[in-house]
Amino acid sequence: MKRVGVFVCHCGLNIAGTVNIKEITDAASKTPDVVVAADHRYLCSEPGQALIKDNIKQHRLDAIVVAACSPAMHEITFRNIARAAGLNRYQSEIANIREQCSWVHDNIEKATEKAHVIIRQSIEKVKLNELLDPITVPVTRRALIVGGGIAGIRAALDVANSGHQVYLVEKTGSIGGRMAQLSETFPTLDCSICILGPLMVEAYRNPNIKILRLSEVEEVKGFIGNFKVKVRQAPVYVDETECNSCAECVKVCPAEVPNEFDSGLTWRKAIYIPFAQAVPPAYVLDAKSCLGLLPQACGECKKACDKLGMSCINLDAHPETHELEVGAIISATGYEMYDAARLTEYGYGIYPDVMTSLEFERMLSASGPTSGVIRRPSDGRIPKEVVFIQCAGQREPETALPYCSKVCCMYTARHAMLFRHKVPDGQAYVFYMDIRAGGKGYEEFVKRTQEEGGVLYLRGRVAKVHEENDKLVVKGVDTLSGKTVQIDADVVVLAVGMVPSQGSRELANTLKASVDENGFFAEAHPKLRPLESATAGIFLAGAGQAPKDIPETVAQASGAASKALNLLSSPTLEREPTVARIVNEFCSGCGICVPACPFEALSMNRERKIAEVAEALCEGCGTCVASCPSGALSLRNLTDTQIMAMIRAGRG
Amino acid sequence: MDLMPHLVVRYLQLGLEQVFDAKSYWLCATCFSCETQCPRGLDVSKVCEALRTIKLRNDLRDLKIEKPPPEMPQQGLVSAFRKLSPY
Amino acid sequence: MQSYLYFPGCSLRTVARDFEDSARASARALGLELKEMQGWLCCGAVFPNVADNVMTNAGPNRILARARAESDTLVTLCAGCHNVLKRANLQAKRNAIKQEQINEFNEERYEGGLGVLHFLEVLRDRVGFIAIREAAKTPLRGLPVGAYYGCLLLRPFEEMKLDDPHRPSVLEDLLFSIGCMPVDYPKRTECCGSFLGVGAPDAMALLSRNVVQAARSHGAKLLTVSCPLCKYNLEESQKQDPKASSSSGPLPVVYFTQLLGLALGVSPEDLRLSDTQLQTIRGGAKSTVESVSQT
Repeated sequence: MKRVGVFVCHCGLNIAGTVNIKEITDAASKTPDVVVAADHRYLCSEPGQALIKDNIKQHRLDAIVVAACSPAMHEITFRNIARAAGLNRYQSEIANIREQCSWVHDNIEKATEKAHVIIRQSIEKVKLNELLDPITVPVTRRALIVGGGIAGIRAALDVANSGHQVYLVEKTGSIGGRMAQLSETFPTLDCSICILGPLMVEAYRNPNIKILRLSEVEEVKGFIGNFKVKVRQAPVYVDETECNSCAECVKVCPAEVPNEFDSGLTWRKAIYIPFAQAVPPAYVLDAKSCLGLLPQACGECKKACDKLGMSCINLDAHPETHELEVGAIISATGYEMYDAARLTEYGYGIYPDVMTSLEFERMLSASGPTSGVIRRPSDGRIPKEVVFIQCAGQREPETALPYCSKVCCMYTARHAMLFRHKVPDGQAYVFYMDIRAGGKGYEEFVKRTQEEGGVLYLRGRVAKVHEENDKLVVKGVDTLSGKTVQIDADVVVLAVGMVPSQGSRELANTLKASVDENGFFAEAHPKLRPLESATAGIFLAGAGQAPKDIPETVAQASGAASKALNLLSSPTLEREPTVARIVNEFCSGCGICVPACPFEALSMNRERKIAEVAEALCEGCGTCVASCPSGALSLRNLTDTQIMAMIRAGRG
Repeated sequence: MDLMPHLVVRYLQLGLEQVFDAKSYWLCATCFSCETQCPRGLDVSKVCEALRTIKLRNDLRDLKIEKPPPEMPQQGLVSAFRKLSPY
Repeated sequence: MQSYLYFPGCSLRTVARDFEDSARASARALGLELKEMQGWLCCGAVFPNVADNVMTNAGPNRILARARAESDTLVTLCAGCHNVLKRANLQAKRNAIKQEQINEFNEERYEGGLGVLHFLEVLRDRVGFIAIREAAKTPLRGLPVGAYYGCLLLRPFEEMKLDDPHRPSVLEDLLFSIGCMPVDYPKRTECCGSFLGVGAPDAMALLSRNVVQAARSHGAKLLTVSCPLCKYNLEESQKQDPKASSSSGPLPVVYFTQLLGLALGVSPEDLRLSDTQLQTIRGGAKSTVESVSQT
């Protein structure tokens, strides 16, 4: 018979305020097989832990029940105490009398009675617990990072510089992401590509980083420390090691499509370089916009390249599937802009001079469609009156996005300031609801924009934009003065919201990670675990998790890298042993359990004609146990016998 | 317009009885432009109608028209009586 | 002959006979019949905006119940009636408690199952603008007309869902299909003043005049509407201020069904078009591309 010790925590007033601690401790001490019962104000504290350890030694306990908060909080703490005191870790059970009792009830009598029951049940369970050891599995000490923007690049560098190999998977032809599209960054007005470029090159040159461009994750199998990933790489028609960016192919290509890098403001050919500083530094052939490859309709690019004696272009290239084994995955898939055409009151898509903030960004950029000169898309004239509308299609739970994208107040201030620098006799107006400038130096930057920059900030929304006599008539209001405002603008810039990149939901499915109601990757805990998804081994970085600015993205990327490195720092990792077990004699070989398992941990042994559990893959969910008609399957330390004992204990 | 629509709502949020002194809510034609535009889906026309109704029920004032506009479709007269009466 | 159950409403039977007659005639020319429903009554002109007003729902519900006895679809012409009946129908679906109150009061119970359509929806979704274009024997070539939607056809958007509330296109699409050149102008979805003509005529005049001025300055030769009150307000506001109308006289206002009928070959008499209106249409319609650029 096991000698059980029960320890009841007051948890300050969290438990003691609703549950009569003395009563339940007394009752516990009178329960059969309980040798000692004690209480303490904070069992998780040093003295509290010492109390448990001392009692284990003094009373020669075989098992302990800790009546306290949720196992999600301190199961590991108390298991470690048990081990430190010489017991097997799995002889420690938590009776949750806080989240499942004191926190949800206010009637002291009834809560106390319920706490009795919970403790009795835990006692019955721990009496039948087996002594178990964690299952050790090897860790593949490599990481996979999905998304080659600043978040992915930063995380890749951090992991690679710690000596581990990294696969950096990028959907487009070059790494760099959105930051490569920006002109300057707030609040310092650093040139964006100038600070990003060196990091891109460093990633390219780092021997531990393998960049897979034009690639997407197709399938993920396995579990933390042991992922098997299939990455599909689109046909690479241009060899990145041979290509020297001479651009002869571009000259002869007949197919033209809108250039995504310039937000559709310019055109590119079917064979193109994503942008001048692209890494890998090679051209890309976009099969979708090419006149035809199967069968070959044109082939001029290859002819031009071959004529120079180069052989970079292979029009018969095939897609390739890379099968990678990694231990940790970081999702850094970033964002795109909300579709402004849905905001019909502003006339985006109808009036060419109504632009999104990203389009304006490209126009500001020296590498953009007008080499950094701001021009009206309709007639190319330099605009003198520019209206910026913040919160466009955001903070509108009834009509568009319900959330705030955090960075628009700052980039709009920057846009307005830069416009005033470039067009000193121009006037900029910003329609705002609030100014969110919480970062370091941000508030000062906005103040500078208003004072030095001479930008007029109007507090109110814009009702409608329509065209009249070649001007955009903007009708809004300034609630601070209580007056309606009409501005005849040359250009209107909409600060639209950030939404998760296309394909995020599908990727989340593939990774078995979850997304929130807005499609952003969901973190395990919003306050304390913002870098991990709820799925073990998958970490999150950047705007793919929630809208954020560059400093936060970089910080989060390094954080996610450090979490991944935690994982990769050891050649093995321990998995919980409370997994499924098959009693071979009872197994009839029916095979029902095999498809029932969501983690593919069960398989049929053809020779012995019985099922087998791959313990390393098992997550202990119990689905197979429920499916087994012969009762051959059970969960270690949660057997039917234990459950029946707990039910009986609950009936008093 | 003496009290703008958002101020009518603001005064109500702050419990300011002066809101009843405003003329603007009497001019609301219930065109619902406010409700279409409001990011939080507020219907100021409903608020205005409520204010009118409270005032009319308190004052028990009926709409009196000496000379109905000739040729006005009865739709207009019925709407006016329904909007500007205490019911 | 496809037949639709039809609700006229009071104004269409009295001061707005031109609307109803032209609608019936155009429908006939398209092979449709607008069959008047039995026992219709005034819809009440407004949908109650205060939550404790249940009485105003009695009339609309009687209409819905009586229409349901005859068909599962009811077509309206007047934007005001459409707004009331569509919203009353939605309320019947969404607010079971209020609906029960109304049903207890009325002699006939309405238990749902009726779809309320505006004639424009019939033209757009059931007939199709391509079919209309093919049926337009005498298209109104290049007539620069300003389509005026007003409020009640489109809003509240969540309940009406007829077209985009900021940039609707159903009237323009119809006008294109009959050969017109509809003019885009900023005030086409803003209020004409509605019932304010009764208590605050200056406010109504200001609103309507803004619409007329905007349409005129963007090149419209006439306005087309779907509501007798809008028509009255737009015409009345021009009468009150002779300075507002330009040298070419006031901007005529016609119902969209009159233009539709004319394009389908219905006679102007059957459409109850006045001489002035007809003159403007003929004069404007004769414009070719070069003449339009001269104006």
